[in-house]
Amino acid sequence: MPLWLRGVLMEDQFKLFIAVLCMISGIPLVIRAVPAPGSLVVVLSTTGIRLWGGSLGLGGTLVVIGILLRHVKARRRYIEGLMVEAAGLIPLGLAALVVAVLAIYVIGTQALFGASVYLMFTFACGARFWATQQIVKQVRLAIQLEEDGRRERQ
Amino acid sequence: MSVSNTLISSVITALLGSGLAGTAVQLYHARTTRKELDLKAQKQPVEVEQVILGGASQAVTLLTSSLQWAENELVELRRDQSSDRREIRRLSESVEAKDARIRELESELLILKERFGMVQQQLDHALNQVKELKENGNGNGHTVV
Repeated sequence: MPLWLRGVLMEDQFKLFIAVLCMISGIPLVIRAVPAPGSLVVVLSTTGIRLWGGSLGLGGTLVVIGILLRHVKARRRYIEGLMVEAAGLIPLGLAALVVAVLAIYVIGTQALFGASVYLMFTFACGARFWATQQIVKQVRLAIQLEEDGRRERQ
Repeated sequence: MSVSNTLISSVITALLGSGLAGTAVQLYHARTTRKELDLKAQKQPVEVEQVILGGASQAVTLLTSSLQWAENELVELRRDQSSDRREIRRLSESVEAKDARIRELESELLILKERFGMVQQQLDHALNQVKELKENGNGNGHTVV
């Protein structure tokens, strides 16, 4: 088994699974290959539904690309992979938030459990986005300090 | 579609649109960061690589220290185990020795009981003889001293 695949399966298996799931749920909605969820159909226009599907598909795709960049080209593209993953988390989190809100709005308290799951997903996306930003900030700071140190040594 | 639905739809569309815009901004940042890092890596590839891989190295250090700790714990446990085994062996030997001593004492007790029985018989016999002698002495008109 290649090293990068091993890394993906050992560290990011859940993220990859969720991202692929979002990708294959969102993209068919954009091309209208599958019917949209009921609570979305009631409220959103066709454009809105496509936009929602697009957010889901794009988010999932970017997260997958980010994970692969981090593992396949770990030496040169680690930071970029993190940032691409963070970029994918924004539409994913928003798409989940929209479903949660619409489920409560259309169905009412009966949809509370489903809505909670989507809200937790939004929360997880937010937490991961924050974490990636922190890592990127730390690495940039470390690079800067390294540069300063090198200059002083010279 | 009612007015409130239209309003909600517009808000959600705007929200999703802003999300996509945020994604675009973040991707732009990723691209500029990549260029910046590439430029720095060309200047001092080793340092940048070291910094980027610093996290991984820290994780390896952490794992190594955890492994070391686990190994030390294992050695400690093995030492305890061997000490416990020694103690068990010592106790078992002591128990065996005590069992043997008990058996020995029991057999000695049996012998003593036998001897005691014999002495008792001899004593009874002697007492009978004294009694007989006393009776005989009284019959003859002599006093037995």
